[in-house]
Amino acid sequence: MESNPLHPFELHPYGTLSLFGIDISLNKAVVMMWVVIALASWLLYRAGRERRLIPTRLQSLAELLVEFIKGMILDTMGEKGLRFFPFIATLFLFILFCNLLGLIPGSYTVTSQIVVTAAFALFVYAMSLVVGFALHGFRFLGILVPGGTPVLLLPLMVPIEIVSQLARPLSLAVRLFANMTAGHTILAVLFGMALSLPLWIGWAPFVFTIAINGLEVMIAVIQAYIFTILTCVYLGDAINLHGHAEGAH
Amino acid sequence: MTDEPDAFRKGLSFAVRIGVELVASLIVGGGLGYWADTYFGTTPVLISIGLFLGMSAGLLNVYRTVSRL
Repeated sequence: MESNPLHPFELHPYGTLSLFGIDISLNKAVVMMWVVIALASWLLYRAGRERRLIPTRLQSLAELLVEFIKGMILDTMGEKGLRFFPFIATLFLFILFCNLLGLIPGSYTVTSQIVVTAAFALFVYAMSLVVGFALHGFRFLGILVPGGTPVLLLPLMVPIEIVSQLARPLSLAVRLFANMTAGHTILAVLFGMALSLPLWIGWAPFVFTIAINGLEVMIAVIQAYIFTILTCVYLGDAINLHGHAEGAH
Repeated sequence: MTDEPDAFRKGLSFAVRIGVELVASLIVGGGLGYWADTYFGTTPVLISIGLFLGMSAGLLNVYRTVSRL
């Protein structure tokens, strides 16, 4: 029995391994990411292998998923966003599978490491900047000036916009990391209570863990969805300067 | 927009986003101010401005998310 509820988040490398002086030792998180990639691609490959007119269960699930992601992109970015579909779908599936597989006891939640979520968030944000500057050139800096600002307010509004832009990758990274870590810590605390209390009262936290586990499944899906939709929103801001997306609101 | 699951999804995503949005802007504003203060040696001035900017940016973000609903 482990008394520290943060114990599940600790990572210990399996031996040391280095390539040209860079530490590439394997640990549970790395292996878990491989498992996630393998499982997600295998499932989707199975689902899309035979394109039947009357879909199998797996195929209709995959079709639902694709339609869902497509709807998300059309909602936030408009038609022009569809070229990002492969990226958005990959991101959504990877985070979703990481979150869901992390709920299996004994496995590891990769997204509970802020390194992972921060890497995702920084990549997404850098990508939105690159896309914005590639499409609009220096007019993209107009994103720092909200529409209809009086000239007198510009010295105030531009720093505020800069701060709110810089807050984007931070909030993206912290949200996913904090939600996953908090959920698993609660589960660990409740399990610890269930194990250390006598049976006549210990059943209560145990029942709670079952309920919280259900909640965690929901949180896992919602957080994957939020991360993806915010990615769409940020990319959409870069594509449609000042939010003139057709069909967006 | 009026059908039930869509409204539920939007409301939920909104609720989960807002809290972090507020705090993140505050942290970025305060952090920038703190860094600039230690760099220029003007300790209480820039961090106050930074925190003020962070608060404004957070509120502005929340306001935008609400009006986008």
